[in-house]
Amino acid sequence: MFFERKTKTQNILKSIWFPFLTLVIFLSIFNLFGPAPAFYTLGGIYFLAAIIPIATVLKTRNSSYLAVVLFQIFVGLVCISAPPAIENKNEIGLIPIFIPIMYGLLMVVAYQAFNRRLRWRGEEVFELAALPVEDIGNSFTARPRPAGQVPVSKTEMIRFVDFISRNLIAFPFKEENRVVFVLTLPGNDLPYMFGIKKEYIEDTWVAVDYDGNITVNITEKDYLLFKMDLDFDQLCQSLGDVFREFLELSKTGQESQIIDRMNSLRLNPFA
Amino acid sequence: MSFKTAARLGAILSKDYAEDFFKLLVNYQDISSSEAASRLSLHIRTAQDFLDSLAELGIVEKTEVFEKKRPYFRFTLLKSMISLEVDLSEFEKENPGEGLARLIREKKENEANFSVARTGDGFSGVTIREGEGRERQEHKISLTTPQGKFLFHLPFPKARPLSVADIMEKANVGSDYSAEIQDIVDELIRLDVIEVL
Repeated sequence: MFFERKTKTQNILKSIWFPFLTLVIFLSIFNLFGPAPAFYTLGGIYFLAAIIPIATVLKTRNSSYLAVVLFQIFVGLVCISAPPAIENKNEIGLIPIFIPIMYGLLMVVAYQAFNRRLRWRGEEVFELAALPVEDIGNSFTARPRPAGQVPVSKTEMIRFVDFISRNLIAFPFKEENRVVFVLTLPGNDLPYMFGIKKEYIEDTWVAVDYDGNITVNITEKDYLLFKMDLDFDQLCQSLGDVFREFLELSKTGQESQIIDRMNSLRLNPFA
Repeated sequence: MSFKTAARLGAILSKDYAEDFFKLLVNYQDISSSEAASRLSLHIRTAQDFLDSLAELGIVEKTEVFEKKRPYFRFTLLKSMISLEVDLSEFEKENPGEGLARLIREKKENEANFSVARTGDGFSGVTIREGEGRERQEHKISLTTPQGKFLFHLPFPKARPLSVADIMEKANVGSDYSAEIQDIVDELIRLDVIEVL
């Protein structure tokens, strides 16, 4: 599918900062204190960093992140097993087992990443919403907008919520009479994952109540992600339409088409 | 009776000494302000103002009399019954048909901030910032449920404007509420939050 991209490309540093930072820390400690402290520190960092994908798995039940959790744990295990082996080659312990598993998991993680299974898809949803919208000059206003209706039962909603969160399309907030889907860009998900952020009012969201009413709210910060001044009214309506279409597809068991639609945008999985 | 007249009458009747004053007026053929003041232990100026107010409302008659000394006024009660009747329907919005036909939408770059109601299908209030710098003030308007639902469906800036009636229909707000809807529309037009096209 050919289309003119309407959102600005995200800074690639957002995706590579963690391995880059750990490498810098590892090399610094290696030079200052030697290999053992450097490996132990690196192992500790990876064990700690595994908390993030664990939180994502627990909150979203996204199975792809399980591979990330296991990869980080095995990197940690390799790192803390390395110093004794460096000092005495007879004490290699379980390293010959850990390293192949670590590389195997690395392959799995890389495959998942290239297939955008580890990336919050807020940006792709914005692109889909922006496709039919014209550039008519800044018309932003900071308030939600009703965006139509979609008939939905509670069972269908539960299924949809599960699908949306499992595939990292949006972060759901379940309320008494509706579900609010917060669109999350890569890197902005951590406050939700750790439950630090319990309010969504300041974010971009799409709410669907149990009567089927759709409401859309786009923040100024997210509106500025677009390269051009899109008609804000049309953009909100279109975002509501995207979710209505997703919900209709989910109701008929065609969830794979939702993923296909987003994948067809062919956005860079790392930027 | 106009609202202003009723308000003046209400203010007069609410005075602590009003009842005693009327007892004098009912029982005296006529009375001067100095006589009333001495009788009720009031300042003469207070008695004079009270009687002048009653004269302006047509409850007493003010007559100038000349005796040996300089001229002064005597007051005679004209009505033994005072009724206070205000027709509140005069406040109803005039010309509601035309008002509902107005094409409106939110004005671009206004200084309003809408608060979403707990139910999520309307606004509970709108805060308008007025002035600049130290003079900046916030004016919060709490909305009724129909007003909140109506404004929730207000077209965005640059969007196709809709008539007030159409927005009410979209918001599922009945025509019974047209007067209060028009009130908030007029207020937000005045505050540059809504524009009429």
